[in-house]
This record gives sequence, C-alpha cells and structure tokens, in this order.
Amino acid sequence: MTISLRRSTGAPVDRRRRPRATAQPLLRQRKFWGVIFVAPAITSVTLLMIIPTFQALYYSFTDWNGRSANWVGFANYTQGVFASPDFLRILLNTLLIIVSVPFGVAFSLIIAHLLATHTWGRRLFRGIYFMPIALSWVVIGLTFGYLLSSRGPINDLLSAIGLSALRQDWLGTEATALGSLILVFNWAFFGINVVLLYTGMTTADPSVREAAMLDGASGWKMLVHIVLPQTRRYIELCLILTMSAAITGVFGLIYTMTSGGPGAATTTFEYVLYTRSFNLGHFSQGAAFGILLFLFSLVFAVLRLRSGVRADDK
Amino acid sequence: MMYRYLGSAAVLVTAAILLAGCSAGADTGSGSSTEIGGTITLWSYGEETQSNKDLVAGFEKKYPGTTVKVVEQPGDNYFALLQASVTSGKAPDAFLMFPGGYQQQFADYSLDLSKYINRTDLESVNAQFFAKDSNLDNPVYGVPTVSNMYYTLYNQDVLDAAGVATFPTDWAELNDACKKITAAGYLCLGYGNTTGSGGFSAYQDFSYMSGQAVGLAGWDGLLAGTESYTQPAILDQVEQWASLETKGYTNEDVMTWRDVRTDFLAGKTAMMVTGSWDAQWAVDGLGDAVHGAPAPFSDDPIDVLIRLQDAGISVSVDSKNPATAAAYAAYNISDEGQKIIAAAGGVPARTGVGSSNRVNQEILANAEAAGWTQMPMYDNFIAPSVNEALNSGLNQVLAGQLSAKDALGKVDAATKALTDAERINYNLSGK
Repeated sequence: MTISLRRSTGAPVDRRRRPRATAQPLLRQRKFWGVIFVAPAITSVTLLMIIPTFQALYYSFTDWNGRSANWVGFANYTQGVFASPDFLRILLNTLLIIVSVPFGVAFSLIIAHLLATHTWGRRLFRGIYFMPIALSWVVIGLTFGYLLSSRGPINDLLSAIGLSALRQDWLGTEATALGSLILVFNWAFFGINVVLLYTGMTTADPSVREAAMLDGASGWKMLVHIVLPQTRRYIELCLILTMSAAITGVFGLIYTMTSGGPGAATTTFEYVLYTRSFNLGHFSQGAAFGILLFLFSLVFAVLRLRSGVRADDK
Repeated sequence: MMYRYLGSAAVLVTAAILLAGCSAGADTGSGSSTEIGGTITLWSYGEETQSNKDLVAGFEKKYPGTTVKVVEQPGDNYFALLQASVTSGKAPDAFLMFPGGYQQQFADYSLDLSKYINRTDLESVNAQFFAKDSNLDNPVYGVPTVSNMYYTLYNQDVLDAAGVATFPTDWAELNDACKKITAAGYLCLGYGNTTGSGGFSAYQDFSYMSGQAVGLAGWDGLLAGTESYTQPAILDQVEQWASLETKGYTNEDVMTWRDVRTDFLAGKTAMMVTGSWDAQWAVDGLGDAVHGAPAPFSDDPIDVLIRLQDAGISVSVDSKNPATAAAYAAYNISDEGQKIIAAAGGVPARTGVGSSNRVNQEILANAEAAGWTQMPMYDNFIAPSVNEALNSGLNQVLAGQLSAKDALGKVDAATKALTDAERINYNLSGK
C-alpha cells in the first residue's frame, strides 16, 4: 500500500484561498527572521561592495585626489587610460595571464587523473602538490624572485646540466619576465586545483567508470569521455577560482617579483591601478583602471556563466 | 508589531555598527592646540637613522612632557603608504618628506610651516623647495633637515690592485679605469637593488649625466617641456653610459642583482653610484679604503656635485597636535638639531655645519676646494609619472633592452602628458 503525502481534495487548488488564521503569522515570522538573518550580509555587501563600486565609477569621471573631486568627464579614460603608451601592453599582459589559466588547470587535471588511477605514492604526492597553497603570495614571490634571479639556483641548475646557453635574467628580461610570472602563478594554484580535481574524480560514481572499462574504454578515451564529464563541476570551480585570482589576485606576485617591469612587461590592470593611485597619486585614474578591471571581470564571468548554462542544457 | 520594530531596529543597529566601523578614525580635525606637549607620531623613511634617534631624545629633553613616537615605514613603499594614510585622514602628525615633486603630491595634506617657524630659519636651510612655487613667500609645506648628495662610492684598495692610481673624472678615464679593473678580475661598476625587483635608482646617474650636459637652465627647459630629453647632448651622455654595460664594465643583471652592496663591501666591486646616506655604512664596512667622488659621466673633467637640502619633515594638516609636530620640525633645523645630525654622520641642511662622517666631509671639502658646481637632485623636480618613465627607461637602457633614444623619448612623452597642475616651474637656474 502506498500512502500519498499530498493533501488532495479532488478539487483544483486555489492558491489564493489559504487558511489565513494559522499560515500568515507563521509566514510573517519567517519573513521577519529571514530579514534579520540576511540584514548583516546585505548591509555589508552594500557598504563594502556596491557603494564603493558606484563611488569608483563616479570618481573615475572626476579629478579626485583622495579628498576633493571635480567632474572631468571622460578625461581619465581618454588621457589617463587609453592614451597611456603602455595601455596595449598592460591589456595584453592581463589577457595572457587569464588565457594561461585553462592550460594550468589542464595540467592539474592530468596530474589529478594520474593520482586517482595510480595508488603508489598517492598521499605523498597529494601532500607535496598541496603545499604551495599554504604559502602567501609574498613568500612565493620572494622565493621565486630568488630562484629565478640571474645568479639563482635555476640558472645554476641549467649550467650544471650543460644548458648554460639558456641562462637568463628571467625576471629582468622583457622576453621572459611575463612567462616566468605566469608559470609561478599557475604553479601556486596547481596544488589546490589538483586536490579539488582529485576529490572530484574519487567521489564520482565508480559504476560509470567500471561500465566503461567493461566496454573497453581506457586511457585517453576514459579521460575524455568519462572522467571529464564526471568532474565538470570541479573543473569549472578550478577555472573560476584561478581566473578570479588571475584578474584580481596576482598583485602580490608582481609586486614582489618584478614591480611591473622591465618597462611594463609584467604590469597588469590590477597592478597599474595600484601604481597610478598610490605611487603617482592619480586616484581618479586608478579608479578608471578599477572600472576597466571590473568590466573585464564581468565579461569573463558572463562568458563562464553562459558556457555553464549551455553545458547544463545538453 | 513588536517583531517589526525589533527587525527594523536590528537592521539599523547593524548598519550603524558598520558605518561606525567605516568612519572610525576618520576625524579630520585640524587641531587647534598651540601648546607644545603630548605625543606625536613621526613616520621615518625606512629604518630610523641614528641622527633621528638622537634628535628625538634631544627634543624630548628640551620639551619635557613630549613624546615622539617613531614608526618605521619601508622605503620602497613609503609614498604609497603615506598616500593611503593622508587620503584616509589617518596621517601621522609628522612624516619624512623630500622636496620638489615628491612633496608636491602631499602639499594639500601638509601644514604651512611658515606660520610656526621663522623666516630666517627657513632661509638658513634652503627650505624654498618645500614651498609653493619654490618661493618662501608662499606656504612652506616642510623643512629640509639634511643635505644629501649623490656620488660614487669607490674602494681605493680595488683601484690600487687594478693599477688605477686616481679615481676617474671623465668618460675616457672611466673607461680606462674600468678596463684595468675588469682585467684584474673585479666588477667595475655595480648596479642593483637589494629587493631584487624594481630596478636600480637610475635617476642618480641621470642627475650627473644631464646636469653636466645641459646645466640648470637646460633642466628648467626639460621640466617645462620646452626642451627634449632626446637632444644630442643628453642622448650622447646616456649612450656612453649604456656602453659601460656592453663593454662588460657593469654587471649584466642590473635590474635584479640583490648583492651589489655585499659585493662592494666584500671588495669584489670597485664602484657604486649611491649617496651620502650610505657613507656611514660604507665606512663601517671598508674603513679608510672607501671614498666618494662625483660620478665621472662627462666628456670633460667633472665639475658638478649633485647636492640638495633633501630629506625633511612635513606636518600633517590632520595632526591633532600641530604645534608640537611643528616644534619638532623646527628643532630639527635649529643649531642644536643640526649639530646632532652632523655628529651622527649626516650632512646638515644648514650651510656651514659640517659632517662627522669622513667620506661626506671629504667630498664637501673637495667641492669647496675645486669649486664644483652644486646642482640639486634632478628627480626631486620632476613629476612622479616622469620620474617613473625616466627610471624605468634608463634601467632598460643599461640592461641592453631599450635604446637610449627610445627610453628618452618615453620621458618626453610622459612630460607632454602632464597637466598644468602637475607641471611646476621651479626655476632652478634662477633666470
């Protein structure tokens, strides 16, 4: 015998006719406590995010010096941002760091897959890979600044293995500084991405994989057709976390490793926002770069959301 | 009903708490105290110097009941931190400041010290570069406490070992000396930065190169944007300077080398371009072997010494104890204060007060004996954006990544991009 939990009167439900005497006070109470509980969050978000964003937008149209502000229209954008001789280079640098993220995540995916499918040394390697996440950007930047310096261990290693021709002042040369920075940035996220993806792989329904194996799938086919779809949510999470950091969290590395140089070789929107505001005292131009950075993040957020929706529709 | 009121009250309380948090410390009262006493906070640029420690002790003794709380701020991030502090209304009572373009950024946040310090004292330390339009009739936003110099520190033992009898005075002699020093297995000129990022202070070299090439009148033209940085006289100087690297007379990793100081003290590097603030450090490490001389970046024997009444003190407009902060600034430039600076090895801003540091005193004496032309530090008088373009470009030039013409062209572009408010006519030549 099955018991229906639905209250069926046999007549169509009229949603307008509810028993007011008992439900309304309950609803009111729930609304009240709902408001109470979300009020701190809404207030915080409004005060610390929404209002500052609109303030930044306003200040980007003024000559704000930190205290007083006069309206100057688009001058900060036309003269301070787009007319800057380094603008295209800064844009390119920012884009290259973001574009590097899928490659970094792909590498993490391969390592996570190897860890998930090979039991030997799994715990040890997982620990080793996760270690960088415990380090701050400053520590990572200072350490790699030393490792990559012209007289540092990496160049010594190259000499030791007979590759002296490859010795470089990695962070002091325009051609290699950004590449070095990108590698260090992705290395810093490698550990957390491997652990997340590994978790996704080991918690996925094993029956699907077993069925695929029975059908003869293995290696590349297994990875592409079974593992990837099963861990799609985790891959998305890794991409979101790492891309967010690539757009707004790489400052510490740049500051400690290159200070944006040589020239503007490693300067990004995020870094120039800081230097314009605090090194040059051009707060309004800093605000304009901030708005640009916000729009930049928005574009990538929308792209990611749309791609996620499309994948869900399939 | 009670719940509704309670809910509204809770939302208001939460908002009030957050708002209170946001506004805490934002009290920007200019302070009306005229009595000297109480505590003031002073920001030092990097590690506090011995002279400042002695000055604080002297001031506190002279004015019982006063306390100067010194906060050491990192030099490489000093102005960024100060900018954030003054704009948020949380500035220290007094802060170390450099004249010219550096000070210009903070003029709106600095107290007019001419209301607290008499004109004679301001004139005695050449405080005009802290004044609006370099004129002591206008508001004076700070006072210089020391007179700093840019120069080349050199290790005479290394020069002797390489067979270089005297320190070079022009390009030809420098190239000849560097050839011998390099052949003897030493590094001739070391460039770098202790943090390993951000490059070296190329504006020190440029002060000599451009000063010798175009003089003060030429500097006025460069500052005003009426003369070009790519003019042949300057371009030739920068190209000769850049050739030092291609000839192997400097280290290759000029932008990232951290050990230039260590190598200099270890006797592996013969020379380094720095300033009078490093004299004590060098004497402590190398004793009698270390000397100072103007950077020999000149076709003719160099007759320029870059010297400026430089590091000084400004008082915040937001200080709650402006009288005491201004009194501390006044004490720094008083006879007593200047003697304390001299005793600690610094070069006092007040003319006629010598330094106890051998290297600094030696170079001051040489300047007087040889009648060198004293020119200020060029970087003090250019806008921060121009300084950034200049320093970054010259770093790349010496690293062999950019031609001298391209680098100087970028400085021209940065100068042209200045607004009228940012471009200040200091009239360095007095014409």
